[in-house]
Amino acid sequence: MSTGAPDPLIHDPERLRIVASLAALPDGDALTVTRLQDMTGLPPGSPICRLRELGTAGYVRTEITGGHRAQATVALTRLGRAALDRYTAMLRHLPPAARQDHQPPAPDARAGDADRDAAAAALGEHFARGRLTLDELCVRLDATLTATTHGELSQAAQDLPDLTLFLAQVSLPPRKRARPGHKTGKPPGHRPWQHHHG
Amino acid sequence: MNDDALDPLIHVPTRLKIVATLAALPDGDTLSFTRLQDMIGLTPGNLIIHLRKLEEADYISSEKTRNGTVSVTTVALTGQGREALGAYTQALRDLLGGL
Repeated sequence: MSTGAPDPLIHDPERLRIVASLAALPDGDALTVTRLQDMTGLPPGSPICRLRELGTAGYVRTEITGGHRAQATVALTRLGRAALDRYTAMLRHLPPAARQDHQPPAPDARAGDADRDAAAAALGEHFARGRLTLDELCVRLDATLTATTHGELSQAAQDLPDLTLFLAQVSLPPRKRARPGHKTGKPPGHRPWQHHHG
Repeated sequence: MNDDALDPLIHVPTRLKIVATLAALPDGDTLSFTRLQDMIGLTPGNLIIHLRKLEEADYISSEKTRNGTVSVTTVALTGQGREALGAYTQALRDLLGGL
């Protein structure tokens, strides 16, 4: 599975609604299809089709219970729950207008190699964007690469806009650039020999 | 139409990626077409189509600058696009009920 691409089975708005409703149930609990339709507010008939698609993928399990007034109940399978977890993990890569869980580290917290490298990469990006001259870049790189605390790191970048989010996207696994007239026929990142892995 | 509907313009995975990438830039910064293409991994033709759709909705703005013989196209998220992405992620989170 290529990174960052949302699971198309869950990403569909109607199926997403269904999976989210089922996931809200305690483990092992099932919902009747009529109740599910009420909860999701989907047009009649729609849940049945979407449930069939989800069922084929093994994400939901449908059971017919009862005697003369048989009722179909649905529940999320373990596989479906795992797929939804992966899907919500992807959400964390969205740079969100309103996400409050981003806390800058304390100024006196010790910085590691990864922090210094990230700060240096940000300086390089600012230089490429014309915010720093070559001389300024050299001075700040020196300060950044010898910084021991987060305070010193932010000191070297305090008058520059924050590129952390952007660089986090750049550092995603690089993908082969499509060349004009060159059709690979496969999605980027597709490795046939890893097909049965995980 | 219910209010918590997911913006179909942003919901398409490729466009979601484009918008999310541009949203990660600080306000006022732009990204060149080639850089964006590298980051997203699309063919130029494919990327152009998606960018055009987003531009028609005023979610992004693009600018073509000619530098001698080389022309460079840069794209940026508009305020409207940033707002739309914010509303979209909120709707998605609400839908998932804080999962």
